[in-house]
Amino acid sequence: MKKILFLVSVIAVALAVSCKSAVSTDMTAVDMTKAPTDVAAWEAQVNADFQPVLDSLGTDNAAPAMSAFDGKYGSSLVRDFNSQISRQARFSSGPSSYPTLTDMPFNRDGAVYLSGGSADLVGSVIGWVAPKNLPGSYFHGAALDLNKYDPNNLDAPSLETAILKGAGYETANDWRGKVNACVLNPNFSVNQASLDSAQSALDYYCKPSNTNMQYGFFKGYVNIFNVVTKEDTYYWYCTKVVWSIYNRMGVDIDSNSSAVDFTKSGLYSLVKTYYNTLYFYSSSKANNAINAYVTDTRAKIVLAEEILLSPKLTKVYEKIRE
Amino acid sequence: MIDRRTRLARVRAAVLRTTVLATVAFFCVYALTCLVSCERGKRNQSPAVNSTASVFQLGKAIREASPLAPVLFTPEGDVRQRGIARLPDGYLYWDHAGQRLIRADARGKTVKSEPLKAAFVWVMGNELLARGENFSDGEGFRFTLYRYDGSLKETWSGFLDCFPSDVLIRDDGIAFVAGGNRDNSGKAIYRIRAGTKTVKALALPIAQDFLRLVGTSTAIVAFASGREKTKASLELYELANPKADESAFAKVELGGFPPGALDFYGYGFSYLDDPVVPVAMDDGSVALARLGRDGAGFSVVSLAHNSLGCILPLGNGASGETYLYLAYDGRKDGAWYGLGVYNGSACLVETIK
Repeated sequence: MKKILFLVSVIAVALAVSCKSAVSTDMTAVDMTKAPTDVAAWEAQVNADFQPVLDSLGTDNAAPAMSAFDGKYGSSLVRDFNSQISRQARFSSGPSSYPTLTDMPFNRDGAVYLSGGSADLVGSVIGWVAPKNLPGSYFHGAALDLNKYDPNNLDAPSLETAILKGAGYETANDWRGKVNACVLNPNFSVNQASLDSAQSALDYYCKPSNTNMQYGFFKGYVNIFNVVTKEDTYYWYCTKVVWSIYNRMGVDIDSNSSAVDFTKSGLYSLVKTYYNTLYFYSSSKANNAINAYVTDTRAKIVLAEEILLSPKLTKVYEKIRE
Repeated sequence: MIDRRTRLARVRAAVLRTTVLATVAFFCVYALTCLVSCERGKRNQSPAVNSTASVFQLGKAIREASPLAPVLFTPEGDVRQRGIARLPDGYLYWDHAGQRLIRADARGKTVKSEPLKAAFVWVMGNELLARGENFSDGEGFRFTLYRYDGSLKETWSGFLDCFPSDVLIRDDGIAFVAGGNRDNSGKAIYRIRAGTKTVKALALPIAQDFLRLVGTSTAIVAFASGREKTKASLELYELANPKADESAFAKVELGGFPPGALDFYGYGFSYLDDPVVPVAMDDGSVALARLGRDGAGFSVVSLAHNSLGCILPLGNGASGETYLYLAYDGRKDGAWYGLGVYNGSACLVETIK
C-alpha cells in the first residue's frame, strides 16, 4: 500500500512539475498600473511568458498557455483566439461532410484553387495566420498541373501545393470534397512553355537529406516575429507555392489589397496582445508597433484572400457552403 | 441506270441484313439481361456478408460489386477508390483522413487498426502499395510495398519519379507501377519485386495521356488513356513474361478497330483471360473492345458500345460469365456513376442510387 501511495505521489509531483514548466515558472498577476522602472527587464519577462503561447499554437496546450498569459497580464487571448485554439492538430486534413463538388472544373493549366471553411483545415497554422474576412473564408491554395489531371482517375496527384514536410500534391477528389472552394483562371495570355517550366522548377523540391526547408510563415516555425519573405526558398506554405509559379512567369498575383483586413486574423490577435502588453504604458508605442508589424507582414506574406483579389485572375467557379 | 429488279434485290438484302443485325443485338442484350437477373437472384438467395464479390467505395459508403451495388457499410474516416479490398472474412481498407489501415469484420466493424502514413494506398487483397506525401527532387515519391497477414509487413521501399496512373500487383507479389514523371516529359512502367532491382519496363514520351495496365494469366498489356476524347494512335504494349526480372514491354500489332475509334479512354480489365480496353468513339461514347490473339499481336474480337466509361474495374460477376466495372464519364456528367456489367460482347449499365 505504502509503495502504491509513494508511486502515486511521485507521478503527481512529476505531473505538477511538467505542467508548470510547460507554461511558465511564475504566472502570478503583475502590476500594470504604472510604467516599469526597468523596461529591459519588463520586456524580457513578457517575452519569456509569451514564448509558451507561441510554442503551444495549434496544440492542446494552447488554451492553458493563453489562459496563463491572460491571468498574469489581464489580456484576452483566450477570448480573442477562441476559434483558433480548438483541438485541431497543427496539420490535419480530411473530407468534409458536404456533398462532393461534382461540377468543379479541372480544365485550365495553372488554374488557382482556393479553399476555406473551419472543418477543412489543411493546417491550423495557416488557418489562424490567414485573415478571413471575405466570403468563403479562404486560407488554402493550390495550382492545377493539367498535364497530371486524369479525368478517369480523380485520385491522381495533380494540384501543386505545400504540405508539412515540403512539396506535395493534392488530387481532384481532395478538392471536390472542400467545404468552400473557388477556381481562378489567369486572365492574361499564358506562355505554355513558361508555365510548364514554372510548374516543374519550384525551389521547394528537396531531397529528404536536405533539411534546408520547412513549412511555415515564420523562421523558427511559429515565431511570429520572424516573418519570412515570399522570395525566401527555405520556408514554404501552400499559397506561396501558387504565388511562386506565377512569379516565375513574371506575374505577381499577390494583390496586397487593402480589402484584406489583417485585423481579422488570429495572428493579429496575438500581435495586438503582445505589443499591448509589452508597451502597456504607451498606447501610441503599442499601436505603432502593431501597425508596423501588419504593414511588414502584408508585404512579406501572400495569403489566399490576397490571391483571390488579384486583378490577374478571374473567378470562374465558387461554392460557399459554410 | 439500275433497273428496278436490281434495286429491289438491294433493298431486300439491306432489310435482311438489318433484321439479322437487330436480332443478334437483341439476343446479346437479352442474354446479358438474363445474366444480370440470374446474378440478382443469386444475390437475393445469400446475404451480402457471405459474398465473395468485390467491393468499392462511392461517396461515404462501401458497396458491393453486384447488381444494384448494395451498400454494405459506412467505414470509419475517408476511404478512397482502390483503397479497399474484400478478404475471406471481412475487409481491409486504408483511411486517408486517419492515416490508418483498418481490418474490419464481415459487418464492417473495425477489429484492428494500425498507423499507415501515406498520400495514397492501393489495397489489392493482402497486397498494398503506399505512395508517400512528399516529392523529393531527383528522386520522386517514396513507394512502399506491404503484405498484410494480420499485420503489415514491408516487402519493398524505394523512390520513383512517378505520378501513378495505374498499379497492378500480381499474386506472386510482383508489382507494376505506371505513371508520368514530374516534369511531364515521359511516362513509364516500373517493375517492383522484393529483393531485386527495380526495372523500368517501359518508357515512352508523354502525350497528355496516362498509362493503364491489364494483367492476364500469362502477360500484362499496357495502353495509354487520353485526357481528352481526341484522335490518337491506338498502341498496345505487351510484357510477355512478367516473372522474368529483366523483361520489358514491347509494342505489339493491334488491329480491327472501326473507323470511329478515337483513343483509349478509361481503365481496362481482363475478361476470360482476354484484355478488354476502353475506346473513345467519335460520337462521344466509350466502347469496350475485347482483344484476341492475332499472330504476334492482338485484334478486336468484339466491341461493346455504350459502356458509359470504365474508371474502376471491379471483378467477375457471380456467374463467372460477366465482368463488373464502375462506370463514370466525367466529361459527360461529373455526378453520375453506374455499375456496368460486361459479358464479352455487350454491356448493360445501371445507375447507382
